[in-house]
Amino acid sequence: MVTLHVPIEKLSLSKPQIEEGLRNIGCSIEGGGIEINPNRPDLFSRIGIERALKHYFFRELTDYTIERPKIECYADEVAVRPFIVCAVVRGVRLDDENIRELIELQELLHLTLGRNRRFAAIGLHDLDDVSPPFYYKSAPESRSFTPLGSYREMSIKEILEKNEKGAEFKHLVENDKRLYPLLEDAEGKVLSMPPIINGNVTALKESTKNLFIDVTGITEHVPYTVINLLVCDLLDRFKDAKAEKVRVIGKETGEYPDLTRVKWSINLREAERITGIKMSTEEAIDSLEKMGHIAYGDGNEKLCVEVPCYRSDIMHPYDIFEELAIGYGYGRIKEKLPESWTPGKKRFRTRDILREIFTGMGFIEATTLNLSSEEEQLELMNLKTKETVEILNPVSNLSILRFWLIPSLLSILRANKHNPLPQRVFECDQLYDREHAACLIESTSADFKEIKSISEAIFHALNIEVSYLSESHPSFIKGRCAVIVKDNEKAGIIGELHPSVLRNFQLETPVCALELWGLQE
Amino acid sequence: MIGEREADTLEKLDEEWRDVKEIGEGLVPWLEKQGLIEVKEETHTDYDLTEEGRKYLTEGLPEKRALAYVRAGKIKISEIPEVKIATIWLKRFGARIEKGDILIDDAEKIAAKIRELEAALKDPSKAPEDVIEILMKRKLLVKRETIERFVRITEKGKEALAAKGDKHVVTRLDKEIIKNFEAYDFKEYDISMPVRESYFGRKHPLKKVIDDVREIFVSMGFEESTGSFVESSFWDMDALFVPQQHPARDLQDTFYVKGSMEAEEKEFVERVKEVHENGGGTGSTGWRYRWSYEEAKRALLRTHTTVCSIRYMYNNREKDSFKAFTIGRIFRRENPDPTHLPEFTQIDGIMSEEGASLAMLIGVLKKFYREMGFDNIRVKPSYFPYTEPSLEVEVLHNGKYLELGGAGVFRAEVTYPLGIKNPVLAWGLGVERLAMLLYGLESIKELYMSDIEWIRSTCLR
Repeated sequence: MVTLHVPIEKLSLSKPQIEEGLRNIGCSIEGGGIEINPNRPDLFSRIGIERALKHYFFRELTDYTIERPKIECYADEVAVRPFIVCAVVRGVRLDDENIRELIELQELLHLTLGRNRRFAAIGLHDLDDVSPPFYYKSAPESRSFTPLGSYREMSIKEILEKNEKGAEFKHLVENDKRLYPLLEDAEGKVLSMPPIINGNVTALKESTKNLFIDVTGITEHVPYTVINLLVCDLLDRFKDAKAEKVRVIGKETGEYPDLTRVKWSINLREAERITGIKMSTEEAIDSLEKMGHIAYGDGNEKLCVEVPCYRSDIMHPYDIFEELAIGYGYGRIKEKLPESWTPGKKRFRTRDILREIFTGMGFIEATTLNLSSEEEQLELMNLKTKETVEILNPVSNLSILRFWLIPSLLSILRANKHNPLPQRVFECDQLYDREHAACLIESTSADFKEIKSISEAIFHALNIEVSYLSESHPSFIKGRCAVIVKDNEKAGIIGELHPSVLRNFQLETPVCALELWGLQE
Repeated sequence: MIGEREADTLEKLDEEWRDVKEIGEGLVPWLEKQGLIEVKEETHTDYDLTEEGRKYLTEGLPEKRALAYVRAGKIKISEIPEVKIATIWLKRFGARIEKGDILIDDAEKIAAKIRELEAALKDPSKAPEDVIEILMKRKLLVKRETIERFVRITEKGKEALAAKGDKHVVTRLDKEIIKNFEAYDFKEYDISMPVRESYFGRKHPLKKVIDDVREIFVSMGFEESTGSFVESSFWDMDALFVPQQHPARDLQDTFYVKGSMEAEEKEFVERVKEVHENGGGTGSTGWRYRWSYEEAKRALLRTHTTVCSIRYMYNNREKDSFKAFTIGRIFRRENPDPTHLPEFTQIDGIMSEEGASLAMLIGVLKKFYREMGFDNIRVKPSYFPYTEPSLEVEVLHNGKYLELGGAGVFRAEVTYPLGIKNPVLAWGLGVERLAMLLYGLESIKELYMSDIEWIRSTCLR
């Protein structure tokens, strides 16, 4: 979810209308912001929200026009960041509020579609401060310019090391040849050093009339989407503004942005199959117009849908089916129930039986985490090593998946020292990829005999034959521990926990323990 | 019905007040509570001499002896026995001390005061209260209160006595009594009496919720499925059309584990790759990037039980219809706080049949959530990378609509590589959030580091 900070009263609609409209298109008002699903970057500004609401309530559809290029940008092959697309928007009027909103939009796009600037980084420039044509090229680290917000020239090397943005984003451009992306004008003035920082020379100000926009990235698709979103936002924001393509001349030459709608053809039968909504062609067209699309039928079952250029989330006819359903209104959909018959079936029969046995014997069921620490699973239990799943990027000390339950249950006893004794706790659950069950008894009389009696009761109830073999295990008192053997394999362990283990868990009363594994699901 | 012992006791009583001691104290509280007897109490106050008091009774008070010394002209204070106490009291009675000498103006007045005190020591019962108070303050006397209790029978008691037949009244049954129960009457109990608390083994409230959800699924014809905590990125992400640059796959959000996992299903892998890159014949544009098998092989802790659903779909791809669910632990790289843990439990349900659609999904969800106890359910559009259309379920709880799970129709990009023709409906929700709502908990830690008393005493629902 993306949260946009737009005061509701700044939108040109009534509050109930805004709330209804936003909910119906899948946004919600939470506290001071509007929550937007990340697949709708076109809603990441006040302008975008207003546009969507105008579509929804008034079918006010917009088409964007863009003029032929007057400005060129020569693009070298910049290895670390090969794609650039540019645009010009003339006739803007930037006040503080507009600059703030544009920067918020820019940041949200950087974070979402741009994946923190990797896939798209945006530069907004005052066009009148520089002289076209522009050059996108690789520059050595000795090249210097004044970065945005600074009063002096710095070398690229210095920017990467000392500038805040340089340090934050240098991982995106690091390369062995030490050549870095740079966008400069005909006189060598630096517009930006994508994706790190703009030059100070083109900084936006209230007097800025004409904007030059560059979007760079590592694939072409995302920059195209991002520049469309920006240009459409600016054209809606400043009614008198005019957009103009820029010809990028490089390995491939292209004139962008392309603000024409994207044509899709959908089958209404197929739409009905997926949504379950029976809709006439007229209803379908109306539903799509509410979502900002232009639609017209071919007289048969096909519908031609023209999708706004900024809706890059429309990838497949299913996406248009969803638009249809949203336009129609989720709340109006007539529910259906399944018609197929399938047998219901539970798994984990043994787990369920064990839980019944344990609760029948007066044990309290615990729920504990699989994420655990080596300290709890090994050290506190007097164990040295054990092969287990290690996490490469743990949070705090939770660096492994536990391989047994007894330490988790001991932690529960430790956390419950304030409660009266005796305590009987158990847990039966999946560990990694197999079933485990364990129980502990903490009481002044807890001993091997008591836990063996419980083990015998369990295996009798399960009708499983097992034998007990004396075991020397560092967690248990020597001579008071046994492994449970089933079909010549170890299937569990029982015993009295060693006083050192009890002390490690700050317990002062004897504890006997049982853990079973290798049981059939 | 009163018992033998009670009857014996009552028989000793009549309308006269009698000392409790005559009948024995044991049954008195019960008989009184039943209204069979009346009890009154009388309090008597006595004074006992302390050891010091006894001493002075025989030796005389220290001030008396001091006064005698003074009168005899022996006025060197230091020679007076128990000089401190003696001088304190002589001073109180009007003597003066000057330069170590005791000066007495009115010896008779002081002597009278002392006589009064000594008389009170001899017989406190007749002494005035202020004198007694002085002696108590001087710790020569202590007060002793005795309560005497008297009982007499009430009308109800007489009736109870009359109602008791000749039969033997018993409390506990035994083999003999059961055999010949006609010969006995049974003592009636006070059913309002407090009793000892009973404990029993308990399922954990969170697991109880899970059990209930499993029952609901099974009752709706769903089959339970499961899977390992460790999965490959391929099954957890790629097979669900989550692009490889998606933030959910970042090290910040997902736990990766050492090693890599090959996907055996080579043909399926190829189709997933195509779908990511260019839509692979689904009519989709795909994500338009170069898909990497290396990235897909990375092993991780599963981030949702939807991975079990996609594996179930793969294994059941030949079937025209299926319904399946998984409830299990999942892992997200979150720092622990009151509402988040890096590990929690997710419910995931899928179903497919010829007529499966968004409308059917809403129908199934409403049934499902109603079974879970929510009567007011509504849906709103939402977004998940692997479903389209997608929706969010909102339930009315304590007068407020709360988001409680996501759902959708699996994208063609997910089902097409599997070869599944019918739409597949899917939904998921977190069990902890549900349990916290149902049990009114503030912190998810209450579920995972539970107080045993809480588990013991939580009401089942």
